[in-house]
Amino acid sequence: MLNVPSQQTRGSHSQGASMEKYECTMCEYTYDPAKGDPGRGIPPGTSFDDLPNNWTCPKCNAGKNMFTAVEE
Amino acid sequence: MNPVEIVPGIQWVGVLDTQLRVFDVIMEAKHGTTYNSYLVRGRDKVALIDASKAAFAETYLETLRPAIDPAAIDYMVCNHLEPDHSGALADVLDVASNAQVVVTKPGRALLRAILNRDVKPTIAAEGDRIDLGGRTLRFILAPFLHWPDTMFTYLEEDQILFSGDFLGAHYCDPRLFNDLIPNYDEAFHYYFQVIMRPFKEYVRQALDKIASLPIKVVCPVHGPILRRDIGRYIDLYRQWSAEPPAPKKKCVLVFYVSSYGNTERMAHAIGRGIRDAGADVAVVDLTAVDVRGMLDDIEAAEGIAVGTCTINGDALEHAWSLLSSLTTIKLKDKLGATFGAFGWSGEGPLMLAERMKGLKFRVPEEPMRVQLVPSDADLKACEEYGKRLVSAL
Repeated sequence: MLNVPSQQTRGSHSQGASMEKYECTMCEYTYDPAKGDPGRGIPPGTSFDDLPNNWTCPKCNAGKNMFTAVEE
Repeated sequence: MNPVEIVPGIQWVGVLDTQLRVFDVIMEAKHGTTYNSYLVRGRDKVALIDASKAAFAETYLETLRPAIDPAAIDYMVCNHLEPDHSGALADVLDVASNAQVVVTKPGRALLRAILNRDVKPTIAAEGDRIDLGGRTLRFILAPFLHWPDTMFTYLEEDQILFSGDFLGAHYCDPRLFNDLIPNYDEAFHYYFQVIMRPFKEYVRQALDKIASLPIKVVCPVHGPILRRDIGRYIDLYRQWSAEPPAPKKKCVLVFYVSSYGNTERMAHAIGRGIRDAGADVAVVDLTAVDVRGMLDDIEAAEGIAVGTCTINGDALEHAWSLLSSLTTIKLKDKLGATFGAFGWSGEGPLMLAERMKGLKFRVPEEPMRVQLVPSDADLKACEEYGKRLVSAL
């Protein structure tokens, strides 16, 4: 059987989508899934993982890979 | 060069790059440059502030060694990690085996990517201090001046500001101090325009932060050390980083490059539409101006429209050149539009529109394109296009 995550676990609004915050290591902007990035069409409730790969930091344009999870 | 004393116990230990004429590929350096590094001795500890470029690692260590045995350095402070100051860091740390690297939090990620080795730096937060014994380094965060990790290091007792690229210039004179050399205002201004101008808002924040500090000497990482008329240089930064007053009327600039006059006629029709809709407009032939001299106007305008004809499936070089000249000004959310006449394919304006989106322009309208000679109806449509641009401001 292929090990493909099902739609139910991957959808941005689905139960269990991570609401973990991520911080830009360059400018310390924090991405908060509860807020999303509405200015660029990312609705509230979108987990960091579900952001498109070409999403960049709204403050300094650093790529998604420059973010780290915020330890709370 | 030999180490040069700034005050007893503090030495310049940098590198003169007299031959450099182009810096970082993009920047003129008519007078060469220097990579300044500074050695600060306290009673108990020694700090080295900023290093040099990789290509000069050996020259740099030759200057450093007569001043100190590198193994006796306790702290390697990196005010920012751009490779012209951190490229030699690996070589420095090889011999300065007891040195603790000091960077800001964003600097930690950059440090790892520069050294590709496991280093555990000390993270400097706003206002943190390191006591060297009778000499205290205080760290002042200055993000985006001009790298995200930038900080200044202030030596409290001697009132010396180690300012990184801030207040620097590409200017090489072995006499080092601004009171010993001819006026270099032109290089100082050019450096601001290319390096600091994209970050005006951060320049203003940093100026506010240092406003209350007594400063006897400013030690930047490029160019002359300032020990006379410091206030004048700071005032120039104030002046250059100020936001221009908001114009009373909105303004759209229309640029074009046209081989047979068809794109030119479209440009003027779009210009008429903009004016009729109540905004200011200037219609500019890209073959007749140096756009570098228009950056202030472009930055102040609410929008720009760029027209090009299409030759062999591409926009013309003048149009590309305009869009490649805008990296030092703020474009986010500025209105962008493209247009142009063409023979049979007309990709030029489409390609420019994509490029403008990539530069963070807001591009609400599809490119306005006309095959060959614009008819009266086409020119009317261009006027309407100009009006729509104004209503989208």
